[in-house]
Amino acid sequence: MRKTTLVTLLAAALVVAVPGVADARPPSSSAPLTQSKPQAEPPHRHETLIEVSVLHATRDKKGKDSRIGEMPELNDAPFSSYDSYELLARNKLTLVKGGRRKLPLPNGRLLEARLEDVLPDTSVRLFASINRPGAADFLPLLEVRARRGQSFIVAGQSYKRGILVLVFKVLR
Amino acid sequence: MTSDSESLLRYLDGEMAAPEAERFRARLAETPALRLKLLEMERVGDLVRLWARNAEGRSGELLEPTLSRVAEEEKRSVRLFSGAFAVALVLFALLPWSSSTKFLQPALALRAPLREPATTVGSAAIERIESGAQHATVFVVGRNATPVVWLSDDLEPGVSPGAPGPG
Repeated sequence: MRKTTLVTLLAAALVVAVPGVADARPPSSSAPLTQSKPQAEPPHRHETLIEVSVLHATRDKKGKDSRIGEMPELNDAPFSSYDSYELLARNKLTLVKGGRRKLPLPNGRLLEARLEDVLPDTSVRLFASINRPGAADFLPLLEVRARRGQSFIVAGQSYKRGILVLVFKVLR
Repeated sequence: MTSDSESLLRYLDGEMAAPEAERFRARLAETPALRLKLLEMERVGDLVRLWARNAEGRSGELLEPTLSRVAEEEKRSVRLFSGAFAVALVLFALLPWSSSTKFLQPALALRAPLREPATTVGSAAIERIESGAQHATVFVVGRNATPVVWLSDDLEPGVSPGAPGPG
């Protein structure tokens, strides 16, 4: 029985894979596949969901805020030079392709995020900027390519005897 | 197996010719140990026959679970084989020299956006940065090589990232 199955499957493989045999098939047999109307792209193809965590790093010897969760990057230099990390805000932003979302930061600056593109490999190209209204640009443009689950960090803005650490994570 | 045991089995199974069986019976008569052994073997034989008679009506019940397991195992093997073969078939068809690639591409292209990445680890990539008047340092940290953009801020002195590295 197994030998019979094997022979049948091998025959099927030859029909599909051998160039001559495959080309000899009637056009109508492949027409539905090659000419089929492309399926509508799923809704998330034009949007993405990112999480922005705003951390305050200081040297106040308070340790790490438990709400921050697992973030091993903070154990590495230069983040390890701060002994206190507090979660000031955590926001989920749904970004639609071409649209912009703004997020006020504790230091008065404004974070603006934009979904520039969703690439064929499901990664997204994000644009971010950090500016203070009416002031010189602080971070005019940051272009990042990331996939679901990946993070990137923007750090260094001064705030209350410490710095702000913005952790961006692509959720979807 | 000893020669006595073999002779007893042949005697019990009726495999001895009449003269040989007659000689064996004479030997049994004068050998108590051999007689005892014959009785034991007859008792075991009776037990086996009794079990077989009782089991006959329940043979299906006794054998079915085993047969079912065997059948299921065979089906599973066939399924595994078929699955593995299907994968091999797709890979084979996707080889560059296979004209069937053209045939399969539309279907794969339609499915591709629906597939989720197998793993979410890895690093994002900073592709462009315009830092204005600020000094920007770009580096990676952690086992996932998370990219970091560290901007110096004139408002208050922050820490300089220096030459960071994992660990």
